[in-house]
Parts: sequence; structure tokens; C-alpha cells
Amino acid sequence: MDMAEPPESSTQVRSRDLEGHRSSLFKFAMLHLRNEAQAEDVVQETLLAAMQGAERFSGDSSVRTWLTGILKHKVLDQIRKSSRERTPDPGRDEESWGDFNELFDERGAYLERPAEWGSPEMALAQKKFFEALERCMEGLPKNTARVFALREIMGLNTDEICKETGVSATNCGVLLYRARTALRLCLDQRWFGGNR
Amino acid sequence: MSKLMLTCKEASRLISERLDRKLGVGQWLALRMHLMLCDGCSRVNRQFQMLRRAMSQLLDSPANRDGTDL
Repeated sequence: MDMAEPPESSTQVRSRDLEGHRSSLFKFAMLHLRNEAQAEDVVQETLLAAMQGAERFSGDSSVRTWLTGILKHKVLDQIRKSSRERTPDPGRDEESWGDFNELFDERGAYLERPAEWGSPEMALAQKKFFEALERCMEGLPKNTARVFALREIMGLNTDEICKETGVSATNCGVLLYRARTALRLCLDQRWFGGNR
Repeated sequence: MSKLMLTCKEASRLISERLDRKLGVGQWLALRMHLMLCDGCSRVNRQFQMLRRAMSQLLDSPANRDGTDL
């Protein structure tokens, strides 16, 4: 066949544009869901919804921001769905997690003084730092990671997080503290320790 | 009522909580005072803040920029 390629319609360009964002959308979904099948589903639904609603894209924001906006809703739907389906089990993996009592002496003082990290700009400019952060995130128990991601990546407040996940306000504060402490210790080892 | 002198353990919890909600005046003052006197907790404070910055940049970080904007 010697037929020339038909000129690309705007929707074809659009769907190829969207495909390019798949991996970062998947990463976003995984940080919250920690389940590959679920993450793939929500990304697929997001791309589909975006293609169907392409004319609603105003162009005021970047394609990525627009897609992430759609994905947020899909992720929250998924979280709500799985928190309903789950039998009331606040996550066994979290239960065995202490409150980092081992960091303190009996008077509540740090046994080992927390290390100095130096200028944040140095770390934040490096790709390897963020790779270390991702590995550290993967090391958190599922509910802890989810609550932390909802707070720090999606930017929900604790009331909203309680509502979406069914975790009580007190537990939410505990999980956030544990996440921050675990990540602090993990980065200290994986990143800052190596640079000292 | 919150007490005046916090332990590092209590202070560290409050450093985290302050990132999620407004502390009561008593807690806030006690934490300020502790941070003025305690190097270790001041570091934890900076580390938690740095963590927040890092998380907000995680998906736009150099590690994730490659290949997404073809």
C-alpha cells in the first residue's frame, strides 16, 4: 500500500502525549496504594478519562498537573473502596511497629544525638537523594506510608485523611510521626551517613 | 495543661504534630523553649522540615523527570 500516513488528528497527538506520563502517574499511585494491580488500574482509568475529556483540558495548567488532578480522585476512590472492604484491621504490619522508644533513654532524652544533615539544597539537587528517599518510602509499612503520602504528596489535612482512610485522628498523628522518624533514620543511613 | 519542660521524646512528637496542626499556646511555648536549649531536637526539627520539602518535590525530582515530557 502506498497510502500516505493520514495527518495526525489532535486526539492522536493527545493520546500519545498522555502515554508519556504513564510512568510518573504510576509512581504517584504506587506511593499511595502500594499495590501494583490497583495502581495500574487507576492509571488506566485516569488516561481513559483524560482521553474522553480531552476537550475539557483548558491548557491553563500543564498536562501533567491536569492528569494528576484526575488521578488524585481515582486514588482516593480506590482508598475508600479498600478501606470499606477491609475487615476492621488497622494493619497488622503497623501494630508491631513501636514508637521508636529505643531512641530514647528512660528520661526521654536521645541516646544518640540526631546527626547534622547540612544544607538541604545540596541533597535536593541530586537525583540519587530522591532515589534513596523512594527506597526509604518503600520500607514503611503500608498504612503508615499511605497516611504519610496523603499528607505530604496529596496535601490532605489530618481530618481529610481520617475521613478517607478510617484511621482515627490520634492514630493519624502517631503514624505521621512514625513515618517521619523512620524516614529520618533511613535517610540518615542511606544518604547522609555515606556523605559524612 | 502542658508542662514547661519537655523531654526530647515529647518534643519530637510535637515537632511532627506542628507540621499537621496548630499547637496550643502552652505546647508551642514549651516546644520553643526546648528547641532553644536542645541541639538534637533542633536537628530533628530541621530534618522533618527538609523531609517535607523533599516529599513535595519527589514526583518532580530529577529522578522522575526523565522521559515523562517527551
